[in-house]
Amino acid sequence: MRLCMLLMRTPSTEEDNARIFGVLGHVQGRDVSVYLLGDGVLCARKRQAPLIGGGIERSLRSGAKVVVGARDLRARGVPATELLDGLEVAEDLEGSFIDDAMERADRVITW
Amino acid sequence: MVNQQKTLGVMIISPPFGNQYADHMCRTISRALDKGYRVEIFLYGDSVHAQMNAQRPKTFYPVGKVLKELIDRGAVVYSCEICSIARGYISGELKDGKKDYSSTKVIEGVQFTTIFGFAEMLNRADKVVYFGGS
Repeated sequence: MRLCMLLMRTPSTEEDNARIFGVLGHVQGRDVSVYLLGDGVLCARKRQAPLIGGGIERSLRSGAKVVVGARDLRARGVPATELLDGLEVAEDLEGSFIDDAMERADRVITW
Repeated sequence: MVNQQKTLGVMIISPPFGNQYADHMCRTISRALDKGYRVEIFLYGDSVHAQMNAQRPKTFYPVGKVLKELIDRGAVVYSCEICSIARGYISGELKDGKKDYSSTKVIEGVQFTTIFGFAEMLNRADKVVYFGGS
């Protein structure tokens, strides 16, 4: 099963982190894509406390495709050098998400 | 290859301007329309404020203006009848045997329905995306 997730907020608590990324634990990493939009791009920063926003790092390690929106990174002043290794930065995040959600994913989850 | 017949269903519960969910919804729907998909939207709860006519945000993303543009491009926008009555957009009272949905406060093209209309929208949609949160 291919799972496509759109994350628009910061998982700033351990509870959020478990709820949002817990679902990924049941799916093979290569079948997961995570799109970070709006405040969700803040999840892509390096050096976050492991249990706060660490879900993206674990998703990348398990082989998930993680895409982060360039416009929202610029709006929040997050330079590319502060991003986790292995994720993709997309100018057209919404377009990439629509392609994935409508044509490839079996299930779409939004947060 | 994009399937021209596929439908994206969208539900939103967050109001415009208080956060960015309505902005994200409008931009995402715009790209879906660009790619040839049908789009149906259901405004629920405080998100019905997105349907308000003559919004004048000076610096915020112009949700009302963009929503009208999306309708003009083919997006179907349903608004929760009960939510809209509660917030004073429509009366919903019977007039000549029909519910009165006429209003000068609402963007032209918005259609009113109940939560059962949302269930029907879910049946028509190939994928559903939700915008909203705390």
